[in-house]
Amino acid sequence: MIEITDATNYPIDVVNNMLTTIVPDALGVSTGPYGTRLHLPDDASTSERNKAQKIFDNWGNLNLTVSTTSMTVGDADPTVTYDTSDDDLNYVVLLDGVEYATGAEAPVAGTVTLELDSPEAGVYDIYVYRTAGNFASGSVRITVSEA
Amino acid sequence: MAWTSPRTWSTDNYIVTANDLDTEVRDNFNYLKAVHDNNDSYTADEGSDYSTTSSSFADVDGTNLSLTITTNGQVVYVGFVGFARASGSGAATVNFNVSVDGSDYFGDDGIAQVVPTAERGAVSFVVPITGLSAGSHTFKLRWKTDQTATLYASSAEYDVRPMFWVQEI
Repeated sequence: MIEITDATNYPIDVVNNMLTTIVPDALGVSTGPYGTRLHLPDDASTSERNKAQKIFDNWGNLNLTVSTTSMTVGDADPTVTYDTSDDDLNYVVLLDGVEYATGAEAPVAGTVTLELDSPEAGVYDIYVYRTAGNFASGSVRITVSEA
Repeated sequence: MAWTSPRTWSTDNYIVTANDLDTEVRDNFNYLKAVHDNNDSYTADEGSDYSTTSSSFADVDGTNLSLTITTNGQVVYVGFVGFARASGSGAATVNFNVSVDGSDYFGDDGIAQVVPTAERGAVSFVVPITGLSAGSHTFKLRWKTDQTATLYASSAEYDVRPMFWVQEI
């Protein structure tokens, strides 16, 4: 097993989604007080190792635009946008730290737009990442309060 | 220090010497005490819990849940007790194992498997590791899962203290 490591403890569901998308043969992710480890098979190619490393190197480099970071249940649905020339961007949404939604979104007129549909109360962390190029990622947090 | 097989004593006017007593009593008792005292443990009280999505056995914590002792060639018991969770869509499992000097000691799916109906459950095991030569050996706690596994080791959710230990016998 080859391990790509970082001293930061990243959200495991997000990193796992990224790793298994970007390096399909990856074995998984581990996190703990030591930080984060990406597990690759022993025969992982240099290209695969480099891709995995870029997850760490370019973490947080996408500057997302969010319509609001704080709202009340019943308010207008919040949106997260990013201008890109990529074919699409992947996303992972955590609700109170637990995986809530994942998927991919294609840009329209050069902008990827994600919308939280009638969110219930809770803390939503929206992560968006590239599946090509530098595999950069970014995130925003939207806190939804009870009405 | 080595173990000397105790002699069979007789009453044929043999004069017991200091060397006899040193060998038969002192050295053998010292050997037994050295084996008895040969142990190590780690009780985790960390700043965060451990989690993994690894589908192959990986170290739970290659620094802290890794114990090295210099053995006298006897059997080593390895034990663990903790509180773990396996979560994801549908049934989820987490498997534990022990590696000895870098190799997983138990094949297939390891020693113990947690499939808690409420997603969380206690896990514990004590296993003998045989066939070790006298010398330094490193024992590590390992795990894998088919979805996402968590070993609680901090005050984040359940303020519990998992323990990993080794004892030569």
